[in-house]
Amino acid sequence: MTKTSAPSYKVDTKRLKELENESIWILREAHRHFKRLGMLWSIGKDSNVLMWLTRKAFFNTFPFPYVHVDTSYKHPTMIKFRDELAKEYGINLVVGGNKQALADGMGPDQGRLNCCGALKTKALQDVIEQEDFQAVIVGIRRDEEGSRGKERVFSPRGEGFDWNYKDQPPEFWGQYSLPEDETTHVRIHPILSWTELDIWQYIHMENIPVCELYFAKNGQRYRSLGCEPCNNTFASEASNVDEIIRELEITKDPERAGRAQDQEVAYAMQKLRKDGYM
Amino acid sequence: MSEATTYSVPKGQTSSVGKPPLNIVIVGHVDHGKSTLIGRMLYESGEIPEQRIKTVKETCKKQGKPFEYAFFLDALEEEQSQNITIDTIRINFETESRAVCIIDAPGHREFLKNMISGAANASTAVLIVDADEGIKEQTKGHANILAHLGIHNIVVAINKMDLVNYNEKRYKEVKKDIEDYLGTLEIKPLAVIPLSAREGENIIKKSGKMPWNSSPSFLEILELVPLPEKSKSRKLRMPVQDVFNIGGERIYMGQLASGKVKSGDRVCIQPSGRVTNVVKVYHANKEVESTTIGQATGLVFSDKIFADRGNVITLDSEKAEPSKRIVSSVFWFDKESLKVNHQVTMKVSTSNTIARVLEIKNKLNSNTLDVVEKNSDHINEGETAEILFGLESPLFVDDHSEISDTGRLILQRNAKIVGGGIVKMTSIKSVPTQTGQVKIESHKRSITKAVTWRIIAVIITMIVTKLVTDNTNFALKIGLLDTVIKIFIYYVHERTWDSLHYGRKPQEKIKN
Repeated sequence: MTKTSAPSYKVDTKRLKELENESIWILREAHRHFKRLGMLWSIGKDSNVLMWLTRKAFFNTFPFPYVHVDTSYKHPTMIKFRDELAKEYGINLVVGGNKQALADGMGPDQGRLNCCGALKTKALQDVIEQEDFQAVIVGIRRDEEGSRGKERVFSPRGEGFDWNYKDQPPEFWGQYSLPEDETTHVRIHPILSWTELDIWQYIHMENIPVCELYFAKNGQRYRSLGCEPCNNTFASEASNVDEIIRELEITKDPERAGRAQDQEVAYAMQKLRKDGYM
Repeated sequence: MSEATTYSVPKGQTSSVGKPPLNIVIVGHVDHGKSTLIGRMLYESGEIPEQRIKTVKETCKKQGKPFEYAFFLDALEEEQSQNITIDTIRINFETESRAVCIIDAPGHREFLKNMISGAANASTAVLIVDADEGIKEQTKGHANILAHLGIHNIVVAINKMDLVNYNEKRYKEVKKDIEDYLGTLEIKPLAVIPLSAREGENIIKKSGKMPWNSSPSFLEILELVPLPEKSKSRKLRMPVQDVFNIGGERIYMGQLASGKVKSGDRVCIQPSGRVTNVVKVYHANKEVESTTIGQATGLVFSDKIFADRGNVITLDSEKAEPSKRIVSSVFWFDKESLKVNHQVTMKVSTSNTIARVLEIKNKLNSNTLDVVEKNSDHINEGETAEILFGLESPLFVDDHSEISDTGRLILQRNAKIVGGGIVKMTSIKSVPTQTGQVKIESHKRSITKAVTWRIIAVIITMIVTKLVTDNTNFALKIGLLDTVIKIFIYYVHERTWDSLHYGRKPQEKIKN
């Protein structure tokens, strides 16, 4: 397990504290309003920040299960890290996956968007149905890519789990819409307002454990973690959180450049997300 | 861009240390250039990844359009193909001294609820007006909504100056029109700046094409507008969000809307008025001495009291009372109109109740936006009005101008958010119309005034008597007699005057 070193880098604590308070408010609202609640845990940096915020919001307890949608294509390092963290913090871990599709030979060679649809979107739907979740907490951020920029904090999903981005409920003053009849479940996004840099600065400030794949090895590192076949490294010398923050301040490359599914067709993420992708 | 270095922090240094956050929303009529302005500024700043610029170039080429700066924000396929903004988006951006979050809001009338979802999170708004077209329906509509959201810091950007040849006369005409309209909403803009988003004029630095212009550039404005203030008051307000039982402790959780709380404080649970002591304070999961406005707080009390979501914690030493009737400046965005006697769910922070519409006054018609209806029996989609609500159970609320979080409400119908507003008056019987508001003095107030005046007067009398006669005993006697007789006479005098209308003027407008 990789723990970050003690902070030596001075960060914008005022902004981070504001974001932290807002996220705790959202998590507590979610917990108050939904009895059957789960958190989607991708083992990436963002969902680890969410794990940290959950501990803060609920006095070091985890009052809802953490769901990992395992595509079977994840890096083994991520799975090892997941199991270690769950044990250390006493997290109730639920692992979901589309076993049928895998048995039928689903993989990125069947088309990347098809693969994401089957092994992630469909698997997520199955686990939501199986656990009968009313709401799922997801660690997406507005600055990740265009369609996520348009999201609400409480985002209702209709029949077939689709996202009606053309007609979203109003949301202001920390008041969120609760589900109407046609809603199958609600996606809750507590870190929507955070940026990639905020995430790393917060990891630094709070000394949050992150997966070692983010740190450069032999001049290469991952910036966004996903499934091994569709996840590319890039040239980097950043081998600790401090160096990652410095690198992020200079880079002009988008965060998800190393995620192959995003570049598959025009508006790929919008299409994936409309059907219920994270 | 070479200008980038003049305002963005040199890379690799401690960037945003302690920079205060500032949320700004861009509003205005459709096609007046909201997204283009933000896109242009981001482009000029060098904040946009090269890959993104390449993608936008390709998309525009495919669609046979010139380079579209708005595409940096309008990311949805429908938005790019139809050149409109459907939903709001936030862009984080740093100026020399501030961490700015720019919120882009859609201009189409049908997306009003999206515009509000974006604008409500801002403390400052930029109202954009096309120099060529001038003021249009949504210029007025959005300005009116801003007033009802409680946003008074407004900068007007007169865009597309290139279309009017950077003409000063045209700028002055549009400036006067918009200032006149804002005046009717009692808003004085912080600045009115001419610019061209498409051509990049007066965005980062002052434009050479408008030598007559003395106002700052758009970027300079971002450095100059006042920072947000959540609460003018220091009174403690903690709306209870939830109660957690953990390790044998009952923890009352919430975010402070105002003030400060520390262990040992004697607090009051509103609206029941029960009093208890704070024995422990948590900030998130850590025990601390005290917490302050905005912080995620947990409180443990000395007594086993019943309190739950919807209660508000106040300090016992500061008198505060819940309201059964309130007046709010309301905006309504449901297709079905709201009528007198209708019932809706009213939420203020974590508390809620059923509210009945008693009076609808000073309604601004959404079609004309100029005509104010003094009395009305309904309010339609896109309209605003001052509404008197009667509450089924009392709510603890504040005047929005004093404490913002406990001074704003949302309205729901069948669990759907259909409107909102800011609290203007608490515990009153009727909405004052825009003319003829007369403040009547209560008996209590008249007596209090009589007593305080007497104390001052009697002290003067005693000092003067003592100075003249040099007899302390005599001075005290005179003082005592003087007090008793004159308090009574002052009270009678005051009440007599109160019943006379001689010399009284009607008040012109409602002040917050």
